[in-house]
Amino acid sequence: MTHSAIVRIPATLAGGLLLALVVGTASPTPVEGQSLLSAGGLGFLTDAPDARSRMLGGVGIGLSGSHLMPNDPAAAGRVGLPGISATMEAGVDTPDEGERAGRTRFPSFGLIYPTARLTYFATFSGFLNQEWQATARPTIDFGDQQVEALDVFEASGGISAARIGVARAISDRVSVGIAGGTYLGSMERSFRRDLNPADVGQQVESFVADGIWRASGTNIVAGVNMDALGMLRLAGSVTWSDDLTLDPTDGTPGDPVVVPLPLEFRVGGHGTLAPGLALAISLYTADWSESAEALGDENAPGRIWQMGGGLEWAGGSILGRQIPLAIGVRQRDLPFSFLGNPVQERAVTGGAGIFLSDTETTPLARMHVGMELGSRSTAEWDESFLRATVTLRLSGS
Amino acid sequence: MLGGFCLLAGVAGCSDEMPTSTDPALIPVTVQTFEVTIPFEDFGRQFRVDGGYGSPSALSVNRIVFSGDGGLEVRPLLRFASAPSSISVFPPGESQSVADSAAIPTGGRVTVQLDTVRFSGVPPFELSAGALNQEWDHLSASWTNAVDTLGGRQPWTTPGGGDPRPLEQFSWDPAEGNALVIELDSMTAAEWADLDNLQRGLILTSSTPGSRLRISSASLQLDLLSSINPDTTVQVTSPLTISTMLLDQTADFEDGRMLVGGAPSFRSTFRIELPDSVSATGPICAGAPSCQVALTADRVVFAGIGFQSIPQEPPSLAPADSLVLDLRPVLSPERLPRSPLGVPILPQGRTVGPGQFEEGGETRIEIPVTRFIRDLARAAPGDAEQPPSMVSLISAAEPSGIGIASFGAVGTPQAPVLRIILTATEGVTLP
Repeated sequence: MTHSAIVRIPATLAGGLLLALVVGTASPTPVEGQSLLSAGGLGFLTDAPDARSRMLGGVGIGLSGSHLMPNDPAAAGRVGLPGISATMEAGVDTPDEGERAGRTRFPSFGLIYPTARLTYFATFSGFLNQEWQATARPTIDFGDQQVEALDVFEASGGISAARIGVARAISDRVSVGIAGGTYLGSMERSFRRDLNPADVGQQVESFVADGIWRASGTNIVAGVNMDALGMLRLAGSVTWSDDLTLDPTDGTPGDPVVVPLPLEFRVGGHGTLAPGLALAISLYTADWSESAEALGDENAPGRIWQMGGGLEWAGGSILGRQIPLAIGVRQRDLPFSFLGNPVQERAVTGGAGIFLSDTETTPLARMHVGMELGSRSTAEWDESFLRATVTLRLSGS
Repeated sequence: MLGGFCLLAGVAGCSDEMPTSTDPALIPVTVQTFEVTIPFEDFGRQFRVDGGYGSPSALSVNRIVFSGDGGLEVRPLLRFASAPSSISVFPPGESQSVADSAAIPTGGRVTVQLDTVRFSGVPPFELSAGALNQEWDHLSASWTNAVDTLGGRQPWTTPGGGDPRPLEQFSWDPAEGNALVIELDSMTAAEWADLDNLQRGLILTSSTPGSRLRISSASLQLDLLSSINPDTTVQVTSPLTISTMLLDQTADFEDGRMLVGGAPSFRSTFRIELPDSVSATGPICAGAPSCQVALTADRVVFAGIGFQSIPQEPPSLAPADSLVLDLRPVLSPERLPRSPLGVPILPQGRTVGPGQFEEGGETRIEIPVTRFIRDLARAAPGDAEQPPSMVSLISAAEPSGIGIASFGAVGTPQAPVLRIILTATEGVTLP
């Protein structure tokens, strides 16, 4: 980075931005609504679980520097100090027809502890999630009487992957890592029917049928991470999962639902194009056809792809702190269909980071904010979305 | 970056916004709501009718002269305040009054105001007034007993008020006025002026069949002769203090008929025993023309017991005013007919009009019992605490009137029915 390339931002604006961040992140709001398109199967796959990947349109692998990424275990091998990282996201989805829905969630949390030879870490990151409801107003025929009813169906829940792992830099240029753990979380379904008291009479009670399924299942992610030519970072990882078992609980009738999960591949790279300017590209693929089949989704796309890339410019600064800026694009398929139609998502991405405190070789406190403006479309439904993601990384000895 | 911060700040603080579709195709649940009507013989057990609840003296309007058509006879009993302990008189030749506590009743009169608007029957009405000559207790007096307290029962010498001393007879036409004045002789006045005389009281009788008259007010005026100044007679007015009615219900009710109300009141009680399953048709039967669906608490979204009102026989026994029906759980069935009752299943009760007990006014009156039925369906046979399963159909106030409400007899097509609306599904599933 050349000193002349640094853009200086006024101190008052910097203070305002920090205050806004505190206000925004200090409210531990639970998970709220999500896209109606998550109605297919077990919902959406969680995107890259950190803000820097999102602002570059990536899938969470192969970025430069030393950091902890749930799906890039080898990257932890280059971390020199213990630390934590946490990510929060907030977004709104606006369908072409229907009401806007907002949400907040915490896609990932990580803890890392390097020793002389090995680096140990633990991550907790989102995997699948959904949050939607559908309503209907049927008229019920009792022969001599027509009764109006209101039906409400709600589906919600989230499945996360909790892992512990170890990584090691096996040379100056190559590191490897592996992590294993289990899936956690639950899926909930609730159906309620209310008859119109004006048609039936007093003391009409709601009919409610609901169920909760607890998730479990082993998963392992292994990866390699290497530097080449002094200006290129390449990484790859593969995630293996045992069957995802969803056990009915809290009186939910039925047998456990067993969903086979695919082998997931991620590759990515980050290369310097010019001083202060870098290009990041990454790709994800997995064959979800067996999973969809187990859930009765006959029109799911099967193998899905996510790819994206972006440019990162490490040129700005606030109060002498480096402010990297990024812009990118990405596209992905969703693993399950919506009303029998496959769903695609596209987004323009961007964002910025702030290096609050770094030693000469090791980052101590960094924060990234990623923005995504995109759309999802099927034959039955179109919507746009706006999402912001914040990741905070803290390290110290 | 600024936009990202603002979005985070805004969305993190917003309320739930669940994305919602109105497309029924997205609801992955097969659900069916259907109605079943269960006849009384399939859910009713241990039916019984008990009477004797409450006293006519508790009626807010308990001054009715009634001569029915063979089914009911009502005679009001009225008692007035006794004479004052002293009167104020001027001794002969003096201008300063003094108290005279030895004044002598020499006569008097009772003025009875009758309601000239609310009456039944064809005028003129033949009425007779008499002075009671037996001690009577207004709280327990009935057609057969003057006093009916524990251990102190004293029957009337003749049912219906004994053998009262005749005072006056009238032929009253409402068009000619609303007041009857009954003159009292000195003996009757002396008796009624005595506070300790428990016999004192006026009885009114109608001998006109089908008459129904209301006394709107009554008062006694006593003539007291001063013992200090024999030339002075003072008239004092004694208000009506106690009133009740003697009712003679001689009707033979149909066996199994459900009775509610009256004075004293009737209650109809039965136990509800739910079937394990009900017959259904439609998608829930998975292609079969019909099937049995388990009657479980979570499926019951509405339940109501329908009581068929039927004309009272004889008509003179039918309610003359609106009646509020309560259905209440019987808390200690083994203590019937004196079991305590729980709170009304329908808190505000169900109001029925007198027209529903007249010829042509038959109506099915449904009382919702959803929560009661759900509790019953939820209880397992082995549970230590069982919910009440017995209910009493009563009038909200006992007594609320002299009329008796009749509902279809058990074992007839007019017997009560239990209507249940169920919603059934095979449950929610993944995905």
